[in-house]
Amino acid sequence: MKQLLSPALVKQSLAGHSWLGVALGALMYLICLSGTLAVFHHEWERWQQPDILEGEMLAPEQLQLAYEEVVSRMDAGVQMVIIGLPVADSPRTALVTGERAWFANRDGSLGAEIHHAWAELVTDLHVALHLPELWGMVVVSIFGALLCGLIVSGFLAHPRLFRDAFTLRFKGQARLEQADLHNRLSVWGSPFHLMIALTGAFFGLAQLLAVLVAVMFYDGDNERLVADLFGVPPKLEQPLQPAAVGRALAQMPQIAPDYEPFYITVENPGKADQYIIVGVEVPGRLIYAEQYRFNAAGDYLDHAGFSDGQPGQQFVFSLFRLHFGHFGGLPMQLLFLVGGLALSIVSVTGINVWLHKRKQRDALNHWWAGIVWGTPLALTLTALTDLLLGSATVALFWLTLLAAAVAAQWINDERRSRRLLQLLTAGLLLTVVGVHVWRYGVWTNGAAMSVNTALLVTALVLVCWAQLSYRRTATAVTAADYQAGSA
Amino acid sequence: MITPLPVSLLMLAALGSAGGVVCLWWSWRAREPKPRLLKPLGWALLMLACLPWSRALGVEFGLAYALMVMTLAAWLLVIATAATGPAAAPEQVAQRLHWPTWRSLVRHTGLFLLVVPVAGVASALACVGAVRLLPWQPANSLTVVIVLQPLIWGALAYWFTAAPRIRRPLAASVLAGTAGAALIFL
Repeated sequence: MKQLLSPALVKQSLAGHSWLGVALGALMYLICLSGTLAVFHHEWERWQQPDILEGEMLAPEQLQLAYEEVVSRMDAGVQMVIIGLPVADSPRTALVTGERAWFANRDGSLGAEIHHAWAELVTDLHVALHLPELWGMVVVSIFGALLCGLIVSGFLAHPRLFRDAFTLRFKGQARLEQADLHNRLSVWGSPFHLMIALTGAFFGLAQLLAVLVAVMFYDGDNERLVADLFGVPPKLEQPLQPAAVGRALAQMPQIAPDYEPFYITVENPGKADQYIIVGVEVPGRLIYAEQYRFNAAGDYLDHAGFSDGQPGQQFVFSLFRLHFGHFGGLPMQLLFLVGGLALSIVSVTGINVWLHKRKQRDALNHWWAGIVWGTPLALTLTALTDLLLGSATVALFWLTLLAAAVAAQWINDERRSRRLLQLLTAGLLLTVVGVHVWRYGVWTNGAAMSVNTALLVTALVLVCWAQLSYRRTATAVTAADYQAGSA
Repeated sequence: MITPLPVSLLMLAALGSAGGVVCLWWSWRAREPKPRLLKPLGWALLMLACLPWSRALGVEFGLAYALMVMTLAAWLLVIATAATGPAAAPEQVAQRLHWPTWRSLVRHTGLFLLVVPVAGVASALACVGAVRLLPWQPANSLTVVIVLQPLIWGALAYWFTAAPRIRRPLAASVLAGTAGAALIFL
């Protein structure tokens, strides 16, 4: 590798890598950290409302009752009703229409309203950086594309990347420690990082690219492109009646005996052209779902063909599960947790290396420490306010982040501000678990108990990290002060 | 319908992935003359492990697991063999923040405009235009665009930020974008 790349190219690549990294690093960190948490969004949702009835699929009659109840409460102009069916990682029946959503009770009545404010705050941070959704998704997708640039420039800027593939020095200069950590996590994680970058770029950019593709292949008719990808909606003219979702679901064991239904949607509910879609998970496949379509009376029409359609269709329908690690069960989710944390660390250590390379330390060092350690603090604080007050506001998240950066500048010592923020986050995590147990008890559901355990472990790790890291660097600083005094 | 996982096949696959990484590590840490076979054996094991992974979980899940387990095994080895010791004293001098000059701000803003809108539009036009030349269904062509466009955008962004002068990447972007636009709109 070293022979292949000229020193001039390496130097230029390093300059390009640094520019891109510094430009993107802070927001990339927020996107990666929130994305790591979003991998477990079903678990967070079950943790946020652990008192909801969990269990088997409702009987078709009860499901029909719940659907009709939702239709009676539905606002005018709603174009779709979504029914989330119970599956292993989310064993609840949920009905969503417009801005409102409820869980269903076993008898088919509607239960509690769905309230996942904090989980949505985390997801919105990842998907759109809390910007208006359409623009935010494009902005986040641009980060995906530029992450590709960072990966390319990273390989070209580090000719010893493969030679040092296993080198990690946690000793000596902080710059070398950070660089080693950055390079080792990057080089081995590059297949995962590239996959995340490409699939992440899709969500926002696909809509823009589709406009160009439609111009080229469909004379600018976007609807034909959508129809080619998602299938043509059935053309129906039916008497007005509530869609027979229960009847449609009841037929699934005969239509697709090997597949498990996990959602139902009713398109154009209450209208003459309404129809029902039953989405099923296809075992061993990355596609989000295969869809089976029914008319309003619940008569089977056809299936969309995402599992056996054009390769391009199958690819597009695989991107969601691939990006969020929603395939292959809990082990894959845990691998995505590790991979996502690693990418977050790569974002942070990249900026750390740049900061350490400078001759001086200034406010940038403090602000950066505030942002890095203020983010988990802000996320934990919003989780706590959601638990206590039923509200997790975007403003509180960003104000906490700002306050952490300002506090770090005021403390004027990165080590102390870092330790303070870590200990504060640990304390808040313990409080969150305490409040959760106080409100809902210890023995709730498996996901909620696992989340509480994970939060306790995270708090413990943060306390140990804060103490060990502070002591380790304190020794070095004392030695430096001593040398400065002697000089 | 839940089918039981073939545990022995999964263990074989995990051993293959981890074993491949261990061989690479062993070859890396061995002193000269390094054993010749270890490195190819490591890569071969990593490739071969894809077979039991795919057999046990299907091709799509299997390949994903093969890559992720390789990554995890390498990171664990890196951490387990890390050299640890006391931290060195910081060398930097504390100073007040120097705000960037106007000239520097203009330069970076210009670079941002090249990296984001210019490279973005050029890569989109070039990629969409290029797929017109492929004899494929539009849905399949869209897939190529989805994969290729972020890669080209990233590569252009890198070129803009790494090049000592922006003339070449700018000329390449304009040319590629114009050619793509001609294929799309004409």
